[in-house]
Amino acid sequence: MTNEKKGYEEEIVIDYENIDVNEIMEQIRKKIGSQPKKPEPEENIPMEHLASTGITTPRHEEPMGQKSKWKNLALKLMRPFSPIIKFLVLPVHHELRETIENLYKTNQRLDALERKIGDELSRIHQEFQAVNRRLRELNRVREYVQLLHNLTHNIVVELTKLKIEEENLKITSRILEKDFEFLGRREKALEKKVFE
Amino acid sequence: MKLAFVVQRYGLEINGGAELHCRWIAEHMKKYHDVRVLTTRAFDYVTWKNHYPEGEEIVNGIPVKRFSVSRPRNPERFGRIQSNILENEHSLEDELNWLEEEGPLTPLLIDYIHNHRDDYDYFLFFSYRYYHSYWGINTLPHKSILVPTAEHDPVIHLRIFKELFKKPRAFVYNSAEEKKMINSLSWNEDIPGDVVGVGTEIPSSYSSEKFRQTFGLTGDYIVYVGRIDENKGCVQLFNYFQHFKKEESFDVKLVLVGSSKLNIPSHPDIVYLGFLSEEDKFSALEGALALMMPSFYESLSMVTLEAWALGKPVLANGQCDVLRGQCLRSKAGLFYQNYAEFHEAFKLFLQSPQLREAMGKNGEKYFRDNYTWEVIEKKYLSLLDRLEEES
Repeated sequence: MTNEKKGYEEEIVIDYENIDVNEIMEQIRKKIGSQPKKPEPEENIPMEHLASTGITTPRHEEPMGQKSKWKNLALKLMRPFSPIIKFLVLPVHHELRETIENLYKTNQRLDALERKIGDELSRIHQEFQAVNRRLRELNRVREYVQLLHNLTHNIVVELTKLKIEEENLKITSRILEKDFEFLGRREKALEKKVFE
Repeated sequence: MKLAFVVQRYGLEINGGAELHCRWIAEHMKKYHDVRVLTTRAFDYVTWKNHYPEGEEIVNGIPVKRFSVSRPRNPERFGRIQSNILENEHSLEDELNWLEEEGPLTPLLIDYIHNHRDDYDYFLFFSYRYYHSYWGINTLPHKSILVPTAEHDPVIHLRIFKELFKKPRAFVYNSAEEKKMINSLSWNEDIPGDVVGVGTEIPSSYSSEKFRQTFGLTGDYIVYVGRIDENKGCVQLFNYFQHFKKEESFDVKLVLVGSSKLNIPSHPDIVYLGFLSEEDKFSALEGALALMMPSFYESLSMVTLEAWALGKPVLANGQCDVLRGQCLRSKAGLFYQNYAEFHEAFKLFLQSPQLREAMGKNGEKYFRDNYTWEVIEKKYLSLLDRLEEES
């Protein structure tokens, strides 16, 4: 086991002969856990759009190749005269720098505005989605109500049918009662006749 | 054995993805079998517009038969249909409609496969998600070998693909993670499938010193090679790198190699070199401290293998389980899942040349053991032999 010497002493222990990536990652995670939490960087990149416009600031790197080779050569040749050149072009250089700075700041403002618009759009999108969800819920409730209405209607129809049936049965029982009464009277009359 | 390689695009100008993977495998299998490529006339992967002439041509000694795309893709309509099927309940018909919109729509290619089914022993389909693979495999499942090149992409969960993965005669996977993902989606463990991947063509000459001179690069740098695109995690990489530079004082540059679909941030330590030749690309890798691989979705990452072939360690996006798995297996890379992890892992790389060297050696060994052409060819040949024995 060997300890890494430069700055990672006592923090990450690595066995270089037999590297275990999982173990290194565990140690890294442990180290992160013991530190104050680092926030995730914002999604937007500063000056992202400056590059797209083709405006080059002194910090901007172009794709390098033949062009930069010539540029480097020219710069080398001009090096002895650079104090004079700087003196002569200083005002222009200053103005150019100022313009570039202005453009940079404007672009930063534009970036910020774009970010704001993006945030606003995503908020509207979220609200729209929430409204959509609510509408879907309402539609579902409406369907339930419709079902309940149908159910109630069917129950009322069934109850009405049962009521009619009950009335019919009542009438039948009244008729049977009368028949029975008549038969009783007839029985008594016949009985009387037999004993006479 | 007569083999047909079926792929969405094919040509020497196409220098990445499943298309290059297909070309390299076809060119290597040519030594052992009678190989032919069936493809479309498309060059642009966004619209699939017909670009190459129709008919047959020879590319690096392999006959290539091209079929016309009957309708180019309308990216806007396709985007609409895709978000509809990914966000809403939909039918099987909607999914087939999506597949048709995605293209490249080449019914003539499918007709050819159907009509010439007896002329070939096997059809090797590259990329599961396109029209040619879906309908080709459905036309001749018993003669199909699928090289899915699948990533953790939401469309893989579509019903059509769950069914598709149950049909081919065999699979050639790029990684163990890809195999696991497809097996768990379709429960198709009974179908033969080997984890093979792809080798790489290392140019005979490359030099990091010459590269530094040509591009005027000085000092230490890490390199990203590939399409500079949001889907490849480049926006996150730019953010993380810039924040890292704000917080730490390491003198290290981020060199970007590849065609860009993004605005590159203006930062003195972010150097964009554009698209480079293979020699320059390998020279850039050779001179770098490590390779950055920020992609969220990869089915293999050929450039990661190239970095390992040159003995360079990799700092990868751990949210991509293939990259995470490859780093763990190879012991040749660290990974991050958030800024804090990126910061610590990157710092560790920069501070420890011993770790870089050890990981670089591990990477070289991992590449030698698993991804040299000899190993890849052997795996393909043994799969084909096995299939022949079974039948």
